[in-house]
Amino acid sequence: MNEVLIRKIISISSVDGPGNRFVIFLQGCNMNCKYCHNPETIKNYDLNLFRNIESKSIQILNVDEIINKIKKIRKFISGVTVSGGECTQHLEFLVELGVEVKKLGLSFFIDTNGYILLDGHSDLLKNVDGFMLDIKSIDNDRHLMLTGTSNHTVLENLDNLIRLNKLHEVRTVIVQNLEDNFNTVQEVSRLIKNSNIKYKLIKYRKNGVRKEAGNYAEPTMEYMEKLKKLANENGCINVIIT
Amino acid sequence: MINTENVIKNRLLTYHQKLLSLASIAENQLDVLKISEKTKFYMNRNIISDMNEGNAPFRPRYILPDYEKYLKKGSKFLNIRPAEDIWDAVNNLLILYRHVPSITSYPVFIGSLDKLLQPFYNNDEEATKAVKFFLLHISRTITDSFCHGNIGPQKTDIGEIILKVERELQTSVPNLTMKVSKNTDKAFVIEGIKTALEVSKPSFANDEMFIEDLGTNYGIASCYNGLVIGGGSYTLSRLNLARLAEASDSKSDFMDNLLPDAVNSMCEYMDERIRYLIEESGFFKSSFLVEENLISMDNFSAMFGMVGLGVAVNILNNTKTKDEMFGQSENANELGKIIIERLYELVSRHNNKYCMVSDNKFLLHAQVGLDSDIIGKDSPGCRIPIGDEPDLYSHIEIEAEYHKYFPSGIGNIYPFDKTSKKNPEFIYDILMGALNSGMRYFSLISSDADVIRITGYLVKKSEIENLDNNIQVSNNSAILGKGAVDNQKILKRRVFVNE
Repeated sequence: MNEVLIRKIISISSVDGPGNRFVIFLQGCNMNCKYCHNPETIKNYDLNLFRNIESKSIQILNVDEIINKIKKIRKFISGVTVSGGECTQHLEFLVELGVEVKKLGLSFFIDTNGYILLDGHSDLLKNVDGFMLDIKSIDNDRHLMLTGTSNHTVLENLDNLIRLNKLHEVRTVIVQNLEDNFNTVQEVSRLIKNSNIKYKLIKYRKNGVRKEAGNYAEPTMEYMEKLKKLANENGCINVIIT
Repeated sequence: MINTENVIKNRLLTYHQKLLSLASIAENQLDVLKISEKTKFYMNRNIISDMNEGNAPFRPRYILPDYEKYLKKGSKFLNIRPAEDIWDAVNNLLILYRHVPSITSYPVFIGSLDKLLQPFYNNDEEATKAVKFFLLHISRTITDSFCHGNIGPQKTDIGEIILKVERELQTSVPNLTMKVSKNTDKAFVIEGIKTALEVSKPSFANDEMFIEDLGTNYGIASCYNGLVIGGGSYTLSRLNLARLAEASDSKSDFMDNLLPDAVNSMCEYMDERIRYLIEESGFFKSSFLVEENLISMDNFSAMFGMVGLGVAVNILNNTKTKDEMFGQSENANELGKIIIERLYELVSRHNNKYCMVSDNKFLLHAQVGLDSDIIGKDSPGCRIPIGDEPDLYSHIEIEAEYHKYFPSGIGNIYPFDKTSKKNPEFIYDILMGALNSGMRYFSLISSDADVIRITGYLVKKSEIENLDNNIQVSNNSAILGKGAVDNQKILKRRVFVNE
């Protein structure tokens, strides 16, 4: 039975996929985004550290325990979403959870930064109904600067998930006037054009960010609307500003 | 002592509002009902209320005419021929509405609108024009929020058009309910939810539950009252459990002495109101609605209303802290269930020969408050009091447990943050969860709507603001809405917001 460190569970959410969802946030991330507004979820701890201590913010749960929580509110939800941190660091856990979630007749979604290549993991993919993928930047240098990692696998995941028809949504955080915002939005919207794939343009918010965010500014609504218009003009039908 | 001249000189009242007030004053000069001393005792303590129905019942409180029959046969009294096209249908309905009495003087039920108009549907363009004309006319002439139309459970062209037009018109009248069954098209329900997020209507009725209690020919009228079409309710009185609990010495005094005694008194009082209406007022012998078989006593019942369960439980438990309150504590919730089960059992023992459609029984009704009720002292129906609400799932599951006892109406209003508009499927899931929990009626509002649901009926926030600034409003119910906002803090419900 797979166990993981859980930062948070939300049993009712309208913003983590279609319908009402049960959302699990895992602890630990493999990127280090400058604008992260949940930096407390980044650190990868050894699971055993939490075995004998009582932490108010992190708990160890296995798949059974999570499924029992889901069963209690099953009639109110249409699915489960796993997020984090970066949940694809725990592929075996996701595979096991996916099997159990599907047995309950619920949809199973994964929120990921795309750093780990998902292609080839058919045991996971077959039970996932949709991925929500972050595209931080289309430009590799900027991506490195923003997140500390390259975007090659992220873009490969983007192509594969579109091809496999498993991409539910792409998300890009928009910081005011960051150089490659327009390029990123342009390229992403071209790739997902004329499909039902949602493109969420997320306004950068200062709440909770670290000093790494430096002078990053929250974007104006006017700036966001320009980006949305660009995406629409490139054939992207379903663009949401949030 | 009411100063009649104050009504005449009141510049905040429209002509029609003055007329209704003057009629009420005149009616209340009479003292024709035989009321026992015991009932008077309970009424003086606001334990039993006549719900402002007046001292001399001269018409049933709620009437649900068989509009389908009327459209097919026309009316001799009104010299109206059967409808031949959608314009006839709309016009004929609007004409009949002017002749349907009720407690408000306006019709409280305007029909299963999609069922009535769908047979006359030709195309979207014509139907949209007709529906817009129809709903606009209703909202400007039936100036009362207790006027209620139904749609569903089947998806129809007319049903879809009504939902779109309501979003456009943004009116508080009419009230609207979508009947939802296991077979109702999901996309249709989601259209209903999108409309509700804009204009706080429709509400959603559990079709299977209502059919089980009232048969297939039921309608939702006034606030959310389930009654039989072709009939209605003679009367609605209400028992205030909170005030009764205040008068009790203990839980056992409440359950074994006062509750049975008050129920007995109220049943007798309702019997008397019904007797006067049927045997003395002559309504059922003189109304053309009866003559033309658009209503019949065979389809009438009466509503035994209650209010104040939440506060009653807190009083009986002598609750001191928030975590012991009704809605927050299992112990308190258990007591609530015991009280309602007992109430149901007591009311079921009583027979009234004129309530044939409900096996001679009164139907329990969870009344949601009068504008004069005060938060803290009173609480609507079986609802968890505003301010004591638990998380949404618990809120729904706790309240759903009471719904099976109240065939003539119970429900609550669940507010959602406006971000829910981007994902109406989210609310669909919660609605389905609520109906599957045994909830018979579910209302939702968005935190940013102008048309809002008060306790059951709709009013525009802008209408209440006008009253606050001493400006007249045409909707009679806006005055009640202002009272509820001021006294019951209905704008302070716990709103669901994503974490």
